[in-house]
Amino acid sequence: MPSSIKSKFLILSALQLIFVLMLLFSAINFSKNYAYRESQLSKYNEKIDYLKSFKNSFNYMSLLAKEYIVSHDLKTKDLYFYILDIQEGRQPSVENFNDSYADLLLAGMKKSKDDTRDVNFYKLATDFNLSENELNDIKLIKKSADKIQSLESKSISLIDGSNRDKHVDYNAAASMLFSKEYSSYKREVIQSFNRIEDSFDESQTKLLTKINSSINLSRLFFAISFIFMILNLGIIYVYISGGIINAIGKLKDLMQGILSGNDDQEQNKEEEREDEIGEINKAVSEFKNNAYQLKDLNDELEEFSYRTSHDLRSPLLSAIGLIGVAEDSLKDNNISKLTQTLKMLKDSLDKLEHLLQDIITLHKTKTQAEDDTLVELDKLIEDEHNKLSHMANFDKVELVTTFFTPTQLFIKRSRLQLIMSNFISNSIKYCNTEKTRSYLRIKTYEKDSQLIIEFKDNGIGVPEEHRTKIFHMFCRFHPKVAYGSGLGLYMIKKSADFLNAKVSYEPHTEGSVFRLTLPGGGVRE
Amino acid sequence: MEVRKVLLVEDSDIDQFIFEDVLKRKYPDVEIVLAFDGEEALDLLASSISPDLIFLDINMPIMNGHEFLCEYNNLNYSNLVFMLSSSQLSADVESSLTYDFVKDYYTKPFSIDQFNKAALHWERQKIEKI
Repeated sequence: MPSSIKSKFLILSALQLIFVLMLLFSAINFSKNYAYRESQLSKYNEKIDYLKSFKNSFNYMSLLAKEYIVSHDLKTKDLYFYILDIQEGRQPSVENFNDSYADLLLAGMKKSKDDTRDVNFYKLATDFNLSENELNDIKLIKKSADKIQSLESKSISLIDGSNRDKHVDYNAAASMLFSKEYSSYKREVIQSFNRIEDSFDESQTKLLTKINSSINLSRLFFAISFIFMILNLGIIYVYISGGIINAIGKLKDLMQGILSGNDDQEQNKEEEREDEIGEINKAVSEFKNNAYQLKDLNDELEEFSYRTSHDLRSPLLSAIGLIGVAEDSLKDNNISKLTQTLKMLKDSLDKLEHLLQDIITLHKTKTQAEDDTLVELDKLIEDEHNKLSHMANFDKVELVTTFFTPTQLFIKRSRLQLIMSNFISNSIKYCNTEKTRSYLRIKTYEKDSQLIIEFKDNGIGVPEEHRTKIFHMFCRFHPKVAYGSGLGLYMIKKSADFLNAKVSYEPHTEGSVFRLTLPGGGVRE
Repeated sequence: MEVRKVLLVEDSDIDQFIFEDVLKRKYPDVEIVLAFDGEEALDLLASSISPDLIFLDINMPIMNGHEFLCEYNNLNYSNLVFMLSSSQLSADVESSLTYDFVKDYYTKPFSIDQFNKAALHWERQKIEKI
């Protein structure tokens, strides 16, 4: 599933296009089917009307023939032959046929002119796409019609060739038109017409059912397309308003928060998105982290320069002051005071040297590149401990080492050296002299596949109020006990950073516990 | 009318030594009370040592000079305070001198001239009160 906004939009737009096309297609289909149904209906009506007119024309002819026999009115005969000619598809042979007279006649028979359309067999057989059965019925009609017509013609000619009083001719003529034979032919014609009509009805019903189901299908298709289109529009709206506009709004707030230095931003959940907004959010978070990191570094640097300027100046100014005191002592010839002043002068300059040394070490810790080398941890601890033998109280603090892990490490040696040296010297510098036995216990063990080096002492510990800034620079917790540059634990922290290690502090009942947690696997061989 | 008692708030034993030596050489009768940091100074003030002048360092452990001034401002003391620091940073100078009771800012090393100036301030205040 593509996840970028662009591809999502492409998909949504393509879907929308498909739904619109579906809608158009169903609308066109619907109107086409509708028009087709209307045309079929009118065709059907035309067909039925034609058929009815044809059927009627036989009845009229029969009526006209009978009327002629009774009335001997020549006009009825003319009308008879006129209809016959048209039925047979011929040019009417009756000349000067009086329309109005026909009307009158028809009115007398209670029939309207509309029922007597011009109907002929040729048109019936060719114009209406008839089926084979229907054509057969037409043939049957024609055949019976011919028989009827021959009987009618005979009876008409009998009347024509006689005078009115000849009852024999009249009876003969009448018997022809009222004969069983005549009636059966007529019945056959009517039945055939009814069959054709039924057949028309049947095929019409079939066709209409088909067209109607097509229309209903188009309607359903239209409705579905419409619903999908609206749903898709809804999705697009929700996606744009919720997924993009809101996300951009949050992003704006986040950026403003960063720019105004407001750190109270909630966790940026948009980062988990897998689209462009997620990417931007990730970049913003990285930018934010970098900015805060830079700010922290800058604050640290400012603090460092302020403190070093003070701490470097302080012993120098003391030295200048002491030189003044020494000069006065010399004037007074006070040798003991001069000696005391000179000792203080040396202490002051020692402090300065010590501080400079720490600053140089710190600079090296922060900048010097170093490769991992094989280190024997037990040997390294022993060496660092021995280097501190000049310190006061060195002999008072017992160093106990316990290794629950292999002592060979593959690590940046000088950083580890600095960490060890500072922890050991701190335990000596800040041991509790009131206790009979002071100790520093160094223990290594493995926890969650990480190597932990633990430093536990029974020294004077760290006052509770200073514990939060224990690894800050220039923090001196026991200035009366011993002079420190205030950089020791800070250097430990910086060295640990270089080893990708963590350093933590925990007070215990009679001193401090520090733990150095080295990332597992990688550093050890 | 002269200064009899001075409180020095200073963590460096060397600077305490210089202060005592310079002051005693000129004014051997002046009593010097020493406080290691701001907190100790407040404790001493609370025990009614009532010095005429207070000399205050800035960079000290536990409670530094700025923190002391902030606390001192909330209490009802009328002692004059003079800063005595190795810092020349304008931020330190300006923030110290915002308090009315801080009369001057001196940089180390301590000299008798600084004390004389401070004493002059004290005398002026005494005369104004009379």
